[in-house]
Amino acid sequence: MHIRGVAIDDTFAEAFGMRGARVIITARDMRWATEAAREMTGFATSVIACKVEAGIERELAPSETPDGRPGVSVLLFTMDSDSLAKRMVERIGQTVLTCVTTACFDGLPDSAERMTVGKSLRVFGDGYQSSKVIGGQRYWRIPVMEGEFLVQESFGKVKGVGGGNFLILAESDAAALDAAQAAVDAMRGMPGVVLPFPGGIVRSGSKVGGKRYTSMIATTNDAYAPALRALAASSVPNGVNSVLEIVLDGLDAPAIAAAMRKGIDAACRPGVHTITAGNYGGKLGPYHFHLRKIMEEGTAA
Amino acid sequence: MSDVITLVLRAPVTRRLEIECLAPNALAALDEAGIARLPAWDGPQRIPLGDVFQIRGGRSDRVRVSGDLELVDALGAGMTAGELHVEGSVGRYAGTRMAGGVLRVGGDAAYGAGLEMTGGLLDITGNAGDRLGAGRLAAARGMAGGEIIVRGNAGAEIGATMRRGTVVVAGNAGPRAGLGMIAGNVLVLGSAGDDAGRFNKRGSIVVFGGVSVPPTYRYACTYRPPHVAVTVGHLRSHRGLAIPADAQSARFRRYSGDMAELGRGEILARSDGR
Repeated sequence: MHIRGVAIDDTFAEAFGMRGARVIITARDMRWATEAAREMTGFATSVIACKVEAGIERELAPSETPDGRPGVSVLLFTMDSDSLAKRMVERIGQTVLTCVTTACFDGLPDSAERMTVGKSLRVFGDGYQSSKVIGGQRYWRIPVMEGEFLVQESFGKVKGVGGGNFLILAESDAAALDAAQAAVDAMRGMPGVVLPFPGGIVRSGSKVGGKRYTSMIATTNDAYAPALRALAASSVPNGVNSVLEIVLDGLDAPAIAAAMRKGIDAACRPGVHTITAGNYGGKLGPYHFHLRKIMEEGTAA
Repeated sequence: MSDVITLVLRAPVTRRLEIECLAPNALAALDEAGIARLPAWDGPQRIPLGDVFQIRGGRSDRVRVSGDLELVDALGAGMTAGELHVEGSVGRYAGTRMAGGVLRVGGDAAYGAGLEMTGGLLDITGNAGDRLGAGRLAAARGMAGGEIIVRGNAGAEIGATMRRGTVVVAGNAGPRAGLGMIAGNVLVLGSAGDDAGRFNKRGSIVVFGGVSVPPTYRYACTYRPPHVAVTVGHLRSHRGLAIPADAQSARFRRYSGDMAELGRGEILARSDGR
């Protein structure tokens, strides 16, 4: 299969189950909502070392938020249910509560599975906090020097999907980056999906474990490192000099498939040789995103 | 089984009746004949409901009542689920002790609507009388949950001794709103009468129009309380109240009190442009 001259490998991206939450951050204006969201999603690229993966899902108009102010929705993912609540409390407490004018709401109100967040953060109020039930949801008012921080007592969580991915194999580093940026721009704002790495792009794709350093959880993906083509068992085709990866986490598999379809299509541009994906032979995770199937479904639609 | 049970008055009500049996959750298990046998009270005298209303349908938790029911008390009392829609006005104690479901009153509601309710939604299109969402006189606590919306004005002592829940009045409220509130929310989009929030422990009284704050409250600051913005958003989007969008960014003067009690309550009086 080729799209505008770019080969689509007959392979699949292998993803695994995660636990996900959506946080709505509002503020006086988009500047401060974005500021808090960026802080909240900082150092959250991979659970390998960050304990959480997070990203900005999209900006929200005042008409879409509970308090009628501009907002940003953020998605967070962890490998297990308990740690998601811990990361939420840590990150909301340190990056949203501290950020001027913000308030923080649950973005998955229909989720039956709940975790207490505002209830844990309320103690910052040192006894001066108070709660309000509005429309059946409890909110905590935590007095702060600026005024009050409002945070919802509980947040929903869902079984999400982590590690959706595709690799862009290009003739040059410039062509790879242009294609990756085009893919990110196309996927940005799609519902239920975030790209947790810097700018949505990964240059340091990894393999599980290490050959020389066996205690490592992950080491460089030598098969796709062009500089190692002469040294390692390389999967880099002739004429390819740079490879970039896009990693996606989503609230469900269809959201990831839809984003991959759009991203891959945008990445198929001059200078790109092949689009492929990372997998571990189906042993890592239950979610398999077959590139050709995804793109064919897009053509059919 | 029918979609909706309809009750139509057979004749105008000329004496005060008490009809506490019209809880949709109870009617959901009964057929037409069973509903007709339910008790209504004419003073001390028990009469069958079928003598008062012409009843159509059964085994549904959606009930519609039509006719002038200003002299009929306790409609929707104790209901726990379903929807009871009264097309006109109702007498005293509508929705008293209701714990769930939706009670819609198309006209006015007299004294004691939502008295001691613990859950559900009481939506009154017209005006409400005194002691809306309050407790019985001398009762330790009033409303303990749920939501009351009054689209017109309300009488005296709304939310008196309430413990939880929200009372919203789109128009003006009479004197002594939130008297002895333990906690919960009273929100008045118009003005509140004198002596609002007397003996308030932890309750929030939010007034968009004028309010005279008792001397036992202390001014704290002027700010934008974030929970008011969420409440306004909820009322606009889920309750269809025509509140101007700028109400979500309104600033309020916060008074803490009643210092004669715990002092942990508040009166929030809108300040911008007023």
